Amino acid sequence: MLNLKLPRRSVVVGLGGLVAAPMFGVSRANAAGSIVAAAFPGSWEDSYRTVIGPVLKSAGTELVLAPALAQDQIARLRASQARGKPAFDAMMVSPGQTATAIENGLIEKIDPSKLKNWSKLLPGARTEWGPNVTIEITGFAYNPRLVPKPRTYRELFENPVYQGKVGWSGFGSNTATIAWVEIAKAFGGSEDDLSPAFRILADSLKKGAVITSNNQQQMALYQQNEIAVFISTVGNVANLRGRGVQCDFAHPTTGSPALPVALHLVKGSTNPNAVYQYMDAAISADVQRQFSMPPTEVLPTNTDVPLTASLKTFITEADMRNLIYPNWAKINPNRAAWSAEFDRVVKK
Amino acid sequence: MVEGDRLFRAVVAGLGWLAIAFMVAPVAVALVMSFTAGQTLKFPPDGFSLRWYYVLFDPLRSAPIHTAIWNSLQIAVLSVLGAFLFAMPAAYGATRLKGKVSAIVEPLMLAPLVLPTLVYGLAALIAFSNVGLRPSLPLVVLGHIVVFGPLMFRACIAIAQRLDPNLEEASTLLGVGALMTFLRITLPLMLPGILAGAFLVFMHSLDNVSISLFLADARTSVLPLRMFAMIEESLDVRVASISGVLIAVVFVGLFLARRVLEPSRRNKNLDNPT
Amino acid sequence: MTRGGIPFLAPMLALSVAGFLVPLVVLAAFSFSDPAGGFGVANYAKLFADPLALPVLFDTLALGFKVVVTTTLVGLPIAVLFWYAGPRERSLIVFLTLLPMLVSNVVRTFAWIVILGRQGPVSQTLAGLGFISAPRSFLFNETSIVVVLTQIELPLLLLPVLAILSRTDRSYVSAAETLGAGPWRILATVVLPLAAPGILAGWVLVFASATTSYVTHAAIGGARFIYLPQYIYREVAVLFQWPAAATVAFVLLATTGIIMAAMALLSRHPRLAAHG
Repeated sequence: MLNLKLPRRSVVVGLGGLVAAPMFGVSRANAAGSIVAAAFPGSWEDSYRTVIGPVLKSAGTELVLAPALAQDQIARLRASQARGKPAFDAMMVSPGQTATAIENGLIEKIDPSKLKNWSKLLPGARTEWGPNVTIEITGFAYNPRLVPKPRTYRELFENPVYQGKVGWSGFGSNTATIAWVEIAKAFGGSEDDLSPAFRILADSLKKGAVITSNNQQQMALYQQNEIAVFISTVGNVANLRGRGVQCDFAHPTTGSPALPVALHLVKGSTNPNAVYQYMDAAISADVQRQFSMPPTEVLPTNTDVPLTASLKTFITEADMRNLIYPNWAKINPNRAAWSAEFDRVVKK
Repeated sequence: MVEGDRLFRAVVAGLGWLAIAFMVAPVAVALVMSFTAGQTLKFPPDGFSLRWYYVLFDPLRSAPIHTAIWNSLQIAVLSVLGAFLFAMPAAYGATRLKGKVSAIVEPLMLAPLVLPTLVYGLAALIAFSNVGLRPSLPLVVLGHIVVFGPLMFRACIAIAQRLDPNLEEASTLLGVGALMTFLRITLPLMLPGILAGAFLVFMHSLDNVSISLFLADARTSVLPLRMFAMIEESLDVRVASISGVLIAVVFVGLFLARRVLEPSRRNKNLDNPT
Repeated sequence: MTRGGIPFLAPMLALSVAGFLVPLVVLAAFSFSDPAGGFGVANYAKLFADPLALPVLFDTLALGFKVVVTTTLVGLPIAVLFWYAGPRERSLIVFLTLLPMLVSNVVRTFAWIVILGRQGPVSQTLAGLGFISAPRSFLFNETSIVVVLTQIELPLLLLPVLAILSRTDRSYVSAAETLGAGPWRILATVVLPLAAPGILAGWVLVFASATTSYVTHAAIGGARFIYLPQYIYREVAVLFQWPAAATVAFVLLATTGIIMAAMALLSRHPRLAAHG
């Protein structure tokens, strides 16, 4: 027989107390001031947590970051909208999602008077629905040691030197979506007709194209030298460089698709004041200056923040004039169908 | 031993241990990699050091991981508690059932173990949302109790079936109330099963991806999901050190479990003399 | 007077019904819901009209079966080893089976990513021995998915089998041995049938787990191998189409259920029924 002399009652009571306390702790944090802000996974989430987190903390607000791609945020908010309490208090999305969010009544117009740094923003970065914190510039991320500098989307498919070395991902991310639209255009299609893109994709699969689930996987494969080129943003390339990985950015000659990133106040948020705090912090000169430096290196929208020398090597004045702003009104309705078609084409 | 027998034994031993090596190898690899001195995950690792354990335990650099670990621990402990409260009495009660009732009840109790938890996770999300229960830490706990409770049930029922009802009879005859009898006679006797069940529920809860995927809210980041994100993102070396810690926990837990259960196993072997 | 019975069972029964059965019924109901309100098979029609749906379903089931076969092949030697082993060795084998099972799926998957990667030991060894011209990655193909799943699901198959074997009376074998039967024969005619219920139980567990290991499919298979879990998750998280997700989930559930029922019927077959 067993001889375990456990003081049963005290163990159970002790355990219960130990575990229950933090649960009550969480709801206390809710009362004190805490918000959940959605942010893009990877370097965005990390940098927002380490830079903006402390700023809000000193103002008495706890910032919890929920990693989610722009499109996922829409899905989650729509799911939670039905149940009353929204999944997060602040969104971080691009124009395509902003349009959908407005359509579905997910976000609120903001009151600019509550943002101290509002007047410092570039005029184009001030919108009714929230501030733009940056403009993401997309193009080709490539390894100069393994491949020559790509100039067009066509090249990546047609030039044998790139065969088997390019990574492609699907319509989960905005970056990839607008790249596919550009690719379709390069092969005779448009936002209304992406079939040339799917045709060339099917073709390239036979020649060893690498398909990845998401940007994170692309970056991982790039670091392991499985791929040498992928569609990405200036910020991502800077991030890789910051980690000591050799990577350069190339602008497509047809124009670099640009993705303004905006913060929105979610309708039904329990703590809108904290969300304003959050937005204010994100557009403040201090924070934006930090973000414009390595390893994040994103374009600032606060006019008090000058372009760093490093950023200027990525983007010249000429490039800024060559930015393309996608037609989201045409892209949004088709995206789900394109996503399904992509899966059909790449499935082995 | 006949020559054919010797060959047979050799073949079996060879293939058997090779297969076991295959089964255990990845765990060993993960453990070894956690001690790498290098910047990336590879096997064999670039030198050995404890640096990644230091980084893991550093609250400044690993804050989100600590949050995830804390959440997962809370969930696991609460799930064990819940499983104990529901499944242990149920196992006890089940042994006293007549055959026909038992034939219906037992498969129902054990069903969650067999059906894919992914499907259950989605079903739970839809069903609970409709009654106003939103994704949250408590909801994850509920999901875990429902799905892993049967592990506790199964562990306890094996022991409960062996309980000698005469002991309880004696206790009641001596004037001890039903509840006291249960607490002071039955419970201690079932302790090995309870502890084994607790260990199983704890580990399964800590490792679970599919239920947390659906029932956790944005605030409740859990360890396996965080690790999955880290793997997809950058093959962060800290995944290896977290693995090292988890493996150590399992190792210690199993070791203790064997100690606790050893007496009953020896009894079992006595029933089947070789 | 017998103690126990229903009152002790009531809480867990209630939890099972409310927390487990009811959601599954809701899932089924949801899948049969018509967008216009009421019930209908619209979702199922839509699902099977998608050219991707049937291949994904078929591939998922095929994967499940492949893993069942491979785990059985790899697991059988271990089971036989266990059978002939003494108590200490048996204890060690059980320990070595429980250890990987309790170490998370995620951990084991990530170990395999490193093992099968371009700079991993598999690639380096094969290149060193000259079997391949240059180091390459062994990820992102179906064989690797099957190999990894085999390792991950192996304990699930072994535990029920080892449990049955440890409870089985060795006198059966002694009797056969004294009658002059060789070890292979004993294996086939005595041990195997005795272990059969455990093997069947193990098969069901392996099938259910292999077909739903989201983490492994995604990490080892990559974006080009799409199985039901990714399909479900995409419908829920990306496309916010719960009825569609519920439909796919229910199809998966139904398939697993059918296989389970088949196994259950098989185990009732007089020749396979457990003795003692």
